[in-house]
Amino acid sequence: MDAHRDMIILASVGVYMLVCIGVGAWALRRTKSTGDFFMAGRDLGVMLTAFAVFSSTLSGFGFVGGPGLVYRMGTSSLWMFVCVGFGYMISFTLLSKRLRLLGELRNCISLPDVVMARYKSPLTSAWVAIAIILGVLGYLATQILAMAVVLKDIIHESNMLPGVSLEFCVFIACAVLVFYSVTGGIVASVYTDLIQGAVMIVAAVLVFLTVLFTFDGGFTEINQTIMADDPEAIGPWGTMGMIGCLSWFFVFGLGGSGQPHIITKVMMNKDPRDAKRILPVTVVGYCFSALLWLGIGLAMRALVVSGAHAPLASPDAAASQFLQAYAHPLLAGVVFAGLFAAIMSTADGFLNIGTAAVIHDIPKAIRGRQIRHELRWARIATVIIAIVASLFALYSGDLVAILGAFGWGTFAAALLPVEAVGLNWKRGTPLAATVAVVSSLVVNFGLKVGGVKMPFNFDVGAFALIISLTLFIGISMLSKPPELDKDVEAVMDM
Amino acid sequence: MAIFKLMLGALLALLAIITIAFFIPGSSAPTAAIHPQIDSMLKSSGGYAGKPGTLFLAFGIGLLMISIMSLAVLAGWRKAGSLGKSGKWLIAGCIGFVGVFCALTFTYWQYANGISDTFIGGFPLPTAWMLYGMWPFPLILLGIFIYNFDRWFLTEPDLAQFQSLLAARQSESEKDS
Repeated sequence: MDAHRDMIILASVGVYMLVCIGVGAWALRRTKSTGDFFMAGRDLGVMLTAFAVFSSTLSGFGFVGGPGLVYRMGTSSLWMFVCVGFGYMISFTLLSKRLRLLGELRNCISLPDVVMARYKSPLTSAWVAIAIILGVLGYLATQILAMAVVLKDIIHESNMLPGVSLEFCVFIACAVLVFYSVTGGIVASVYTDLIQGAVMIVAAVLVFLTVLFTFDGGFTEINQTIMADDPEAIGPWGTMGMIGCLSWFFVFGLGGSGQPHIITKVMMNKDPRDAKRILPVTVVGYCFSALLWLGIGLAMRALVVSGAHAPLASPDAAASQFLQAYAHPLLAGVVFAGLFAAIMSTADGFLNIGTAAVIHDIPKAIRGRQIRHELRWARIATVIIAIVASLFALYSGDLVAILGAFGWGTFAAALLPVEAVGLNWKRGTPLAATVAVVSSLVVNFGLKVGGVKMPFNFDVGAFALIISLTLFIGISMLSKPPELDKDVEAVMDM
Repeated sequence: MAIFKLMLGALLALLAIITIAFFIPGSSAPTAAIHPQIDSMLKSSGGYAGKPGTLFLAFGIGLLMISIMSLAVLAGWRKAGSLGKSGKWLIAGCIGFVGVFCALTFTYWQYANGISDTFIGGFPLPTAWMLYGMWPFPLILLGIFIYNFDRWFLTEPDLAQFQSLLAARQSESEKDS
């Protein structure tokens, strides 16, 4: 079977993509309005919502970048998922009730809609939409690029099309993504998320078990091997140090409540009371999937420092090298399908919220009303955004990396104060909300473009989040309390 | 309101510490360098062993961050300014989380200075505190959330009030159209 490893991997990815196309075709019949396209008709059950939330959170980064970071830096990046239980707890207490209820009450189909209902300010709503578009472009482009790079490697290894170009792989990856996102909108997205989440959990658990059996002494042997080379690498903070790791814990934990592709899913469940079931399923699903991150990263570091495996050319090769060398071919096939699942489940969410921002939120903020034939335009906009993001991924050079790397921090700093805090604090004012969004963009991009070195590896996104949150609360306290609509106030009191 | 005053205080303290950190000599020095034998890997520059001042600063930053995150949970749990009876359990849970963080930091100080090399569950003790303590600890908070969901967080009267708001909104929309 080992001789057919590459073909098995290619076939697994092919089958997975066919399933996505099938789901898209099926979801076409269930998508009859913009409410269906963007909010799945607010009709999702517990498992669909929970899997959509966690699989959107764990993008391709978790399956490729995560193990790569552990290989490169030791345990530092584990703080990005150690915070997840606390992070989801924050998101669900802040948002699962008030965002969900306000969304239904005001028939909101996007986060800027909710901002409009809460603050009654088209300017704030427009800035939120702009922040979303900027973040979406970067995030979506990096996800498309990641898909294309992995697909190119798989096709190349299988010897089917040895000279296949990156552009062709971008086209294939995008065609599948766009097909199901255009036909079925968020309905197709969440149903594929369910499949994607299940594939991710199975893949991660099986890989974790494989890691345990790769070394006779299990994790004790793996960690003692790493410790003999560099004790800090297997200490709790890895090579990045305590302050840098804590800043990741903060921005990934608290900042989760500002990620639009995640929190919009909380507006889509059928019954608000389901939140108490969705939360544990989400946390458990994510934690199981994160085992791959932990397992492969530590195993590859130990294998390389002990001389049992040749040094990797790039840290991002950690997952693929482990799968090629140590996993059963069928498992490698499942994991590569899981990798595409992880990337696509995040990408489709971004495509959907980006489309909402372009054809719904910005026109509404400028004209005060929706455009006609919104569903048709949503489908057209989905295709255009995917094409723009693909071109951006292929030809923008460093800009895509900057936007992609700062996506999480930008969203966290821009949206957490405005949405998550604003829905739980009546004193939050439109001025404070606008300043918070603008400051998040200025600080995030300013520090990156200016090349400012933060002390003790403190994360720029975490710093931007602290500033935007301080400005939001501080300016609100200094301003006159805003007048809220009676129904909004009632929801905030619940 | 008190929650947000406390949160603002913690945020300002955090900002002050980070601003001061910019001026601490060596704060921008790298914590790791390229591994001497493996180009794609980093090797640490010794961590916080012998740097109690930096460890203390990091500990303070961690406490402030956990405080802000705990206050965020409490802000979502509040209803009309009150945390209810269940709020004290959440506060206790958050304090427990701080306790785990303190244990992690203390055992790390011992680990960094070579005082302890105990392994628990395949990991050095401070890493075990992270993976077996800080990672699963919020399950306790989740338990409190689930147990008190119908009793406090979203009760039947809340839902009844929401349905009446929805009905009023719909009749208003029908009138407008």
